[in-house]
Formats: sequence, structure tokens, C-alpha cells
Amino acid sequence: MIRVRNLTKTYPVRDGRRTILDSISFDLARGQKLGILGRNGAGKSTLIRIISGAERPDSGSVDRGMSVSWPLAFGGAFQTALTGRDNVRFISRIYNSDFERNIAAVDEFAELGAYLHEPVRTYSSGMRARLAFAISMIIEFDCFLIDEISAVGDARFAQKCQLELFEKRRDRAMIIVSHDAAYVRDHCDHFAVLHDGQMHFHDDFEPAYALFKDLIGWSPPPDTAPETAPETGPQTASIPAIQTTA
Amino acid sequence: MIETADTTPARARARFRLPGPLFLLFVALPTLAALAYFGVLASDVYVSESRFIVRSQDKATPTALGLLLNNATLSHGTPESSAAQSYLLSRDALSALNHGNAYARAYTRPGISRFDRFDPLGLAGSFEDLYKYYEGHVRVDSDSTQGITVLTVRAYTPADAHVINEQLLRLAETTVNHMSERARHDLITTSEREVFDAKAAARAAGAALARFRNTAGVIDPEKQAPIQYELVSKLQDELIEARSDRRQLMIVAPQSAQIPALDARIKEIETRINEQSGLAAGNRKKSLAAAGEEYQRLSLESDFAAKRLAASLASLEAAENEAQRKSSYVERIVEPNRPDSAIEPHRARGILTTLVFSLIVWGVATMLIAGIREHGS
Amino acid sequence: MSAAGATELRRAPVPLGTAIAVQRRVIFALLMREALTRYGRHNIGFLWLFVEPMIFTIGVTALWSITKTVHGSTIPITAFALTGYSSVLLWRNMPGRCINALMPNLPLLYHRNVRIFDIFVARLLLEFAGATMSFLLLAMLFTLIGWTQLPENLLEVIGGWFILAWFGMALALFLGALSVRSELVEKLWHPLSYLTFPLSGAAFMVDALPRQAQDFVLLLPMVHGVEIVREGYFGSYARAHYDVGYIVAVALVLTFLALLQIRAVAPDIIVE
Repeated sequence: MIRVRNLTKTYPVRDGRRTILDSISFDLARGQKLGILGRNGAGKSTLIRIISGAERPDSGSVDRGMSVSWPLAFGGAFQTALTGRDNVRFISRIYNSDFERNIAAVDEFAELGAYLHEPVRTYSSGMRARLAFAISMIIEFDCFLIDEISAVGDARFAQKCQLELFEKRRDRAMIIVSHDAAYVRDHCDHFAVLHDGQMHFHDDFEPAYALFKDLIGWSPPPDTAPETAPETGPQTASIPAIQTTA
Repeated sequence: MIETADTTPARARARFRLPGPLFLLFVALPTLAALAYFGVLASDVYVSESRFIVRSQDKATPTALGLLLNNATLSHGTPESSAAQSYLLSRDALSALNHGNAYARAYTRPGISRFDRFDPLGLAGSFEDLYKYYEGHVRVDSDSTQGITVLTVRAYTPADAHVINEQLLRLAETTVNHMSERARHDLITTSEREVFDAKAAARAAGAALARFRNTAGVIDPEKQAPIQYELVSKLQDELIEARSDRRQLMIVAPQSAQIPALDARIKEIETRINEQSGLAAGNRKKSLAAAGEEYQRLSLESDFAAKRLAASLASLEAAENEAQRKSSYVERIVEPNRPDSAIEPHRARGILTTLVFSLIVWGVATMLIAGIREHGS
Repeated sequence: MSAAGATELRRAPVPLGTAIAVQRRVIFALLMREALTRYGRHNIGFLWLFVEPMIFTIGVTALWSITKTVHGSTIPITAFALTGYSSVLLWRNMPGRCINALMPNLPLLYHRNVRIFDIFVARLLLEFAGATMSFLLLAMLFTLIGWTQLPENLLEVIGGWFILAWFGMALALFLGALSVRSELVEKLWHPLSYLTFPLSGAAFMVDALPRQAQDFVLLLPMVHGVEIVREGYFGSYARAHYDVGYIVAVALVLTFLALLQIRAVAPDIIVE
């Protein structure tokens, strides 16, 4: 059980502080999968970071009754001067996990071959993503935090990830944050829309998605607001497909 | 694991308020101990202070840095004042002070609290222990710019503080005087002995010369020799004159009766010439040249002895000056006072310091433990 | 899953022993990572940890020996430089390693058991190990050659060394945490660390200074530490001036401020 209570977070901006999360509370039980939709900059990633413990909220609490992963597929903690193997060893040490078993698992899953013994800075972005995902899979958590995971390597690898995360670990709790409505719909059983610091919860996808569309609809048209263009573009395109399958 | 983060001070303080044991151990216990000690147990300390300066005409030795900066005021003070200071904190001073166990008695009076007195449990009563205790109750500070030494004595009655300070000051005076006397003695005795020896030698040389004059019958051969030579040349003139007279007479009147008389005169003059020139420089022992050799030696010796005497007198004078310059003595600036009330321990300050530092220690311990506790498994 | 009321869920905290074990593991992992990142596996690798300070110390020793630096005591110049410069390396490099150490390592905070404090401490331990091994090896080397004697009171040397290390760590933690707030810290620390070097007791014995200068120099806490180390190393023929209480008090207060500062910056940290 994860209990989030009255979570408030503000960031300093030029003229004062901007409220990103405004007194958010919810519970997440074991095995529940929460999908959070929201526009870019709505605070989805901030929420994930606070739940993961990397950042502190201004007020409120996160009570983790189960083990919570770091944001999945997150590769930022790589020390690029170190080899893939060294990074696996580091994670194994931090989480007190068996290094020999882990390195075997990563070797098999990420398919990096001899590159595992090379500094990460020599990797291509695809290779880094594969290593990052593989490392995320070596430590077992009760709850996985997933932040915009869709673009991991080629189609074959994406499929492997799918299998590893959503098939083999179907009993785990998850919090998935995305602006890709289809992805959220396919993998979650609870939904929420984050807007203006508030979370709107829905047990079904349809009302959540309707709200999400509503909120997006209020934003300026794509051609006049370039920062919203990339996310509204594909989503509006995928709306009919979703509606037919739902 | 509960994570609450809040920037407001009230919340932050509430977060740090860990229950009991840490606070008891790090704050309550030391503060109570300080309260007990400073509030009740600690005995009043009376402080007697005196100031003195070690006077000396010698310049202070500048330090390397002082030389470097060409600044003579950056000095260590005179060696004498350093000596006085290090003597005051020595075992020597303590053993002089503790004559008849007086010092140890002053600090084991029954009125003194067990926490402050010397050897409260009767386990550590050696002289070394006393010395350690002594070092904690006597302070010697020096103000190097002015060379003033401050002597501070802490005791548990006003009289003790005063008496001990006075005695220490006297000991310091004795030490400095002794050093000064010793230096003077060292410097002057050699010069004095030298003067004494030179005087004796001069006297002996004079006596020897006088004796020689008496026995040889000459005052100064150098001056007597020319007179001798003048006499001889006069005689030779006379001899030439007499001979030429005789030759003329032989031509004019060979049978004259004056000739034998002239012969006798020539003979006489020749004898006299031989006699006189032998006296000046001849084969005989009593010639002036022979006497001159001995005379020369004696007079040289006498000259030398006189010069040596003059030199040694001069060096004695210089030594006296040097000794005067090196002499040093303790000059009291502030006499030891007899305190009329105890100014130590600083009770409130002691308690407050303990409280503040135990709070800091507690804060550090609390934060460290809270930091450790952030590591879930 | 609902926007439920504020019923606080009290859970028994992790046992302290477990937490300590976790923290030790995390710090060790960070330490190994840092060492590997900094020195790599090329040429002598890990050995740089103490070879680097050794080169520094040897260089300074050589310089001082050649120029016959005035240090105002009868201690041989090599031994003097060894104790002095090693001590400087100990306390001065620590803040250098901690200032701005956090920014490049922020993503590590995604691993919840990695705390800001751990990142600093790992670096500090590495620095401490390097300076200590350098000092130890050079002392042994110089003793073998006959340039120095063995320390007269080893325990006192160790004590002074640890106090100095504590001071350096507290200072480093404080400045490291402060540097999150303002980049002025880094800008000011560099000139400051160079300016304090000649005053830090490495290049002189306090006893050689005139009285007024002594009082001034003894305000600097690190001078006390260096003096303790020297007294332990050279014994009676180095007349040391120090007050253990002073440096301990300063280190304690600094530690307190450092921990406060670390707590204070935690909410401000934004992980990219």
C-alpha cells in the first residue's frame, strides 16, 4: 500500500513560486495499476519523482508500505565513464543484490555482448535504453514507476520489455505516467488526470479520457502554441482508434 | 517509512524531537552535571595576579620573521624574561614553593570541594601529580610587545593566592638575580685574573732591570757608548800630534832631550787608547757592547710587561661595562593582590556553555541518526 | 485508491542496525563508483588515490628543501614538509571534492537509499583514505632513507590526524551543501583555500612566530590540528601550541551547521 497525503509541491520561478501539485492524496494497493494522464508540464514527472523519493514535497507525505522502484527505463544514473558492467555492479551493491546473477541477466536481456565491458559513453542511445531497462529489471519491486516508457529500442526489444514488465510482473502495482492515452488504457485499471495541480480520479478509462480530451481542447490550437503541438498531434490522431476498441 | 518534509521551522523542530534517550544522554545528563558542579560542588577560586618586567639593557633578540620584516618589535622578549617564565612553571619552582609540603597543604584544605582539591581520593599524591595540579593553577602569560609578564595564581582562599603569588615572584627575582650575578662573575673574573698576572709580571721586569744597573754599573749602554768613542778619538788626535812632534824633533835635533819624554807620552797615549776602545767593544767581558745585550733584553721585557698591564686593564674595564649591560633584574609593576572575593569559577557561563554544546552534540547525533534511518532496507 | 482522509499510517521504523548496514553498503557502493570514475582502470588505476597526493608532497618537500625555507625550528625540513603538507592535503582537498559534488550526481537520488549525505561521505572517505595512505607511505619511505625518524608518539599523530580530518569533513559537508544554494561558494572557496595555505600551519611552527602573530594564527582551527600532529611526530623538540578544545568545538559546530544545511537544501533539490 502506498499512501499519498496532501502532497504539495511548488517550484521557484522568476516571479514567486508556481504550484505544480496542490494537496494531492490517494492510495495505491498492491497490484493496482494507476495511469495518470496529463499535458506536458502538468507535473506528472514531478509526482513520479516525489513518489520515488528523489525529490521532497513542500508538504504532505508519501508513505511507502511496499518497495517502490526508481522511474523505469531511467538512464540518468549511469556514470558514462564506467562500463555497463560497473553500473550493474553499482546497482547490485546499492540494492544488496547478487551481482553475478544480475550481470548474467543483463547480459542475456540487453544483448550488449562485448559492449558490456566498454564505457557507457561509447553506447548508442538504443544500447543505453536497453541497458537501462535491463538494469531496471534486475531488482524486484512491489510497485513500478513508469514515466513515458514507450520508446525503448527497436520493435523486438519493445516486445521483450512488454513481456518482461506487463506479463511476468502482472501482479505488481504500477504507476504509469504518460500523455499517450492508448498506452495508459492498455496497461492500467485505474485512471487519473493531472491538471492544474489537481488529480481527477476515475475507475474507468472513458470518463478519464473524456476529461483529458476536454482539458486538451481548452489549450490553444497546435499551430499557435508550438509547445503543445507534439503531444496533441498524435493523441488526437489516436482518438478514433481508441473509441472503436473501447 | 514516513516522509514529511516541511520548510516551516515548527514542523522541522517537531520532526527532530526524537523521544527521550538521546536527549537525556546528550543534553539532560551533561547539563544536570554542570548544574550540580557549577551550582553546588565547585569551590570558589580566588585569583591573585602580579605583573613584572625583567629589565636588562640588552636588546631583545629579534625573530627570523622579525629580521625578515625588518621589524625589531617582533621579538621573543629577552632571554632573561623567558628564563624567568620557564622557571616559574618548573618543578624547581614547585619544590621550592612546596617546602615543608606547604603548597600541597594549601590545596588539600578540608573546605575545598572534592572535585577541585589536590588528590581527593588519596591515590595520586606523588610530586609529579602535584606538578600537574600546579600547572593547572598557575599561569604565566607574556605580553611580548612590552615584555611584561603576568603571573596569575588560583587558590581556594584569598590568603593562599596572595602568598603563593608573592613567593613565586620572589623566586623569580632570585632566579634572575642569580643569573645576572653569575653572568657578571663569569665575565669579570677572567679579566681580573689577567690584570693581576700582568701587574706581577710588570713588577718583576722592573726589578730585574734595576738589579742589572746596580751590578753592571751602567745606566744605559746605548747612551754611554758615544762618549767612550769620543774619548778614544780625542786620544788618537793627541797621539798623532805627539808623533808628528817627535818626527820634526828627530830632523831638527836628533839628540834632543825631549825625545825620550815624547816617547813616553806616545806610549802612554797608546796604552790609554787600547784601554778605552776595549771598554767600548772589546774582548773583555766588561765592555759596553756586552752589557748592552743583557740590558736590551731586560728593558724589552719590562716594556712588554707594561703594555700587557695596560691592555688587561682596558679589557677589565670593557668587561665591567659588558657586565653592567648584561645585568638584569625583576622589576615589579603590579604587586600581587589579595583578592577579596572569588571571581571564578564562572558558574553561569559554565552551565550555559555546557548547555549550548550539549544541545549541539544532541543536534548532530539526532540528525545523524535521522539520516541513517532514512535508509530503509 | 481514493482521495482518502489524513489517517496517518504509523509503521515501526527500520531497526537502526539494519539502517546502518544499508547506509554502509550504499556508501561503499558510491565510494567504489567514485574511485572507478575518477581513476579508471588505466595505468595504475586505484593507486592514483594516494600517488597523486604523494607527488604533491614530494614536490613541496623538494621545493622547500632546495630553497631552505625558513620555518623557525630545528626540525629537518623534509620531516617538516611531510607533516605540514600532508595535513594541508587532508583538510583542504575535502571541501574541494564536495563543492558542486551534488549536481552531477543528482540522478543517484532516484535510488531511495542514496541520500545527499552519502554522496558527500563517500567522497570524503575516499579523500581521507588517499591523504592518509600518502602520509603513511611517505613517512615510511622517508624513515627508510633516514630523512625522518619514526613518530615519537604515534597515538598523538593519529589523534591529531583524525581531528584534522573531522574538521575537514565538517567544513566540506557544510560548503558542499551550501554550494547547492549558491555558486558563490565555489568561486570564493578557491581563493580562500589558497590564501589560508600560508596561514594554515603547514609552513611554520607556531612557536617560531612572535606572540601577537601566534594569537592571530591560532584562531584558525586547522593550525591546532597540524600542531598536534607535529607534536606527536617530533615529540618534545617541537614546542607545539594548540588547544584541542578549540578545534573540537569548531569542528562540532561546523558538523552541526553542515547537517542542518544538508537537511535544509533537501527540499530544494530538483532532479532533472
